[in-house]
Amino acid sequence: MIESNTYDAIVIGSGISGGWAAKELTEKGMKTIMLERGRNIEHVKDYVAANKNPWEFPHAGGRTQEMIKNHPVLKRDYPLNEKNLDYWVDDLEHPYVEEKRFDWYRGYHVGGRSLMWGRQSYRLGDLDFEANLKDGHGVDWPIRYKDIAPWYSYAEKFAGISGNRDGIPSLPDGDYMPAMPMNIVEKDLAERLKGQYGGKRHFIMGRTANITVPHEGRVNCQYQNQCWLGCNFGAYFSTQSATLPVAVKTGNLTLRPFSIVTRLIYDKDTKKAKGVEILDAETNQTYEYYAKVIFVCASALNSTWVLMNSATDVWEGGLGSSSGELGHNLMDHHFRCGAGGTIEGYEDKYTYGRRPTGLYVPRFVNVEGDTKPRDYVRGFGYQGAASRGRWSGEVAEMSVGGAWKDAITEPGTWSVGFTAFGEMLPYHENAIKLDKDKKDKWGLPVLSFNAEIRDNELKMRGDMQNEMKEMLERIGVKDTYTYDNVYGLGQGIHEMGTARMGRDPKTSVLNGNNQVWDATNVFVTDGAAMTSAGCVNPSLTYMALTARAVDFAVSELKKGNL
Amino acid sequence: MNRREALQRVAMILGGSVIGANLFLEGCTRSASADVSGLFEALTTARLGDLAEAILPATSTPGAKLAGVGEFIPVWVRDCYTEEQQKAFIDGFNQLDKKSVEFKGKPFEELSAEDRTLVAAALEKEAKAYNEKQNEETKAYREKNALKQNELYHELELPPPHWFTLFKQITMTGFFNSELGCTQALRYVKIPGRYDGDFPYKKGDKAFA
Repeated sequence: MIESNTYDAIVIGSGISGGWAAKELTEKGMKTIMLERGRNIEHVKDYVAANKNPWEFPHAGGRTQEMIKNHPVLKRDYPLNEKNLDYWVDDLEHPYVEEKRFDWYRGYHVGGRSLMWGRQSYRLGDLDFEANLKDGHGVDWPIRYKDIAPWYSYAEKFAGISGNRDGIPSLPDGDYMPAMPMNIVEKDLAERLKGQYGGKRHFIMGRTANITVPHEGRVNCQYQNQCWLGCNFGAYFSTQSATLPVAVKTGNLTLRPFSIVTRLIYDKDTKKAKGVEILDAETNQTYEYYAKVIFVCASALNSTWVLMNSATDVWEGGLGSSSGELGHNLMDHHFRCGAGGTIEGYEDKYTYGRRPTGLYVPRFVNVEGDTKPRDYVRGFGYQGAASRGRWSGEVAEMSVGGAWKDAITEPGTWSVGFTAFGEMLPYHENAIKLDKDKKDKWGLPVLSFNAEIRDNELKMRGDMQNEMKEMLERIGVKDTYTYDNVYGLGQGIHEMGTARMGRDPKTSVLNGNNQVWDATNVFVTDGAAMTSAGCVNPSLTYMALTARAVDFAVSELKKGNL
Repeated sequence: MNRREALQRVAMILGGSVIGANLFLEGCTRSASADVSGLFEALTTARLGDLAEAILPATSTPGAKLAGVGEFIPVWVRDCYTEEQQKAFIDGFNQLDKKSVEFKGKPFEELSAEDRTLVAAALEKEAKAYNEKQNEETKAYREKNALKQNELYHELELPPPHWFTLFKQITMTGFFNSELGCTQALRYVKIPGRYDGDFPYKKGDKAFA
């Protein structure tokens, strides 16, 4: 029955971008099917770990040898843990090839990584949109800040971003609900920093997709700081808490889990995609769905995988490969280095509640007013916090016994720590491709990775440590240290690029409205579309790009242009 | 050599009556579970709890034994340790009485609570020296490998630390994640409901879990 398989729109993927696409399309009256390759996770009901206390986890939230054996990728960093293991991909079932190391931490289920994301939400500005043009790396973004600014506002108002309007030129302000508070130490440090740097460097409150007042039927944050388990209050933005309920309410949404999209069905005559082919992950049955527009929001690298597998009879490298850029310019944010120290005093101060955000330090290198010569382009921001942890007991002469035990159950000194997040340049040579010799359990070819951070990033990492150490010393922080825990590409879980936006079909996969140049009814609006990486967390940009692209798509459809 | 064979070999190396031999074999067929009753003889679980208690004794708040650390340790050792760590742990723990006699003249169970803590302190000192020496020996290897950015992921193959270090780590993990540890040794609020960044503190107040 072809008719029952026909919709106005198809959305591939149900994470942050897919959820937004589904919400926007269905609200505009489009009958939409959202295809998700993994299982369903139901809001609240399936957040099993969220209700548990620490002692209800048999391994205290840690990792077993069996978990390590079964998760050769996840084990490389924090994602592998007992508490939300079910939200992360089964590495063995979903292999990929590492010509060079790439840490790919995936979430294959309804909601995708919107359930586990870091929730920091910042705007890119013209500092970012003009960067490629100015220093010649990559190609020029086809949009400027003014094109996306109203869509940032739109996304922020619905998602519920808490933060302050800080008025800092390198970091555009948005439409926020009240910020979470700084603690007493952070307030003092922020003041001192402003004084030391003549108002040019700032510790600001992290802008986060955790709501601080009731919003759209969601309960404000209860300060548990366990967002990655799913929130029973719906206090952080996820597909489940925010976009999906709205889409469902319209009556226009069909959600189909266990649906692996294998290719877009490309029509040579119309030069458009008329639908998608899927493989039911449970039954291995193949189905086709048809629609006027298709939103590819499968997460950056899987969106590109879908394009690579599509229209291969016309272009050997797949839909969008005519540019020579499909699969290229893979980016992430490099991090895992920074600085910290301890703070004297404040012994009569403590904090109550577990705040799910911290301080943010907007980019201050290679911006107007930065007079220091830098041997790299672009820049970095920092995330961190001041806190009073438990006393470590390290200095005790006898670190066993009753007196020691009582001492370590009290708070210790205040400390502060920051991690830098650096921009990675778009290098054509950093690429993914299909490895047709290696197949997953469904017989589908897997991705092969060949990418690395290069000279510009490595040079930046020096400043990422030293600049913070210097700032902390100037504001009176003691025992300062720098660290570099060594970064593996992908660990930022900010995969970007591989189907970039641009101004020219010869050098980009997507145009300024996220349409695939070679099939204009196909839109890619997730991380794959990014022309450059900026140094801020990227998800808010995907929300804005998606809402903007849906608005464009539906108006074009109405005009008969699609 | 499969896991079962490897574990049997461990058991053989250590002799018939070691702790954990049957436990670890059980571990091959059982999935992770908090229920380890029947896997350890009561005495052994009690002995684990006793050494944990020597590290974190009852004070004005409950100690490690009452908090269930003796039951937590075998689950952790079974499920979370590599075979090398398991061997180091069992091998070391089986030396407890020998060490106890060496330091305090009597087997561990015959010592007073105070003397047990002194044995733990002596073991801590021994462990520190052992670990420092080992750190020094592996330093060049660690530095050389830690800086290999952008290569295919591989783990550093490092020997386990001194068994008492392992023991103390899991004692701390078990205690501070136990119900009594969270709610009595520390202050635990499941749903704080608000954030106060200027919360008063006076000496003696417990830390929040």
